Amino acid sequence: MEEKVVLEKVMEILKPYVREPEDLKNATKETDILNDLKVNSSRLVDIILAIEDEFDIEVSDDEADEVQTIGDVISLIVGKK
Amino acid sequence: MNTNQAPQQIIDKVLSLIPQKYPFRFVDEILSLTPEKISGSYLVKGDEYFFAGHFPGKPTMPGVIIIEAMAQVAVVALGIYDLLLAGNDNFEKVTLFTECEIEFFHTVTPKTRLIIYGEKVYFRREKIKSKAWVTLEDGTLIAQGYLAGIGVKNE
Repeated sequence: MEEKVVLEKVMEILKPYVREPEDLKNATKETDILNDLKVNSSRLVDIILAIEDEFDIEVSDDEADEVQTIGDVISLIVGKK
Repeated sequence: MNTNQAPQQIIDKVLSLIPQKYPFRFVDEILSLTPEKISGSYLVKGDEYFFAGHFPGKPTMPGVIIIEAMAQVAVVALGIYDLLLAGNDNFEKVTLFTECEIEFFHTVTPKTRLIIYGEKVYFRREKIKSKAWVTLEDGTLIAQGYLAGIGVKNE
């Protein structure tokens, strides 16, 4: 799966958890999910579950703990496909 | 009878481990308990502190307290049972509320018994999310929705 397609799908998954939709529009791979997008840290669990469903992959708790930026999410997904 | 039903001594243990205590305890009994589902009850006595102001002369159980009762059963107690089943007997953590989406259908007045139901949606990375609903004893639906909480160190 192309990285661009993965990025688009990840942005769609993040959308309901981002406080300001404008922040997501300006997001890049370097954007920090918790700090820049102001996502509630407990919502990371929901985001990881949604990613598992969308991309049909399994993400361990340790791998999930390493996720900070949108780029981290992309690398995680691409590495498993 | 559901063979997954927890034995009474485990139900008693879960109830005793719920960290919320009087005057902020809104579950008297756990009526049933399986790894996926729970039900509990709370008798609204009428002498709870919040009735003095909510509302003077017309005691009505605050929606936020109904949500708290749902959380104590469907998130806290069910989460404790999950941890016990996983062999975790270390309860230095407390479950803090993270989010909820609840709708209300009926008011609650003193001298009524609430039956609170919970069904686990998931338990992952210390976070539990449950579907929950509350009825009166005659089945009248009071509230329903989803709640979640996460275990954090009790410091």
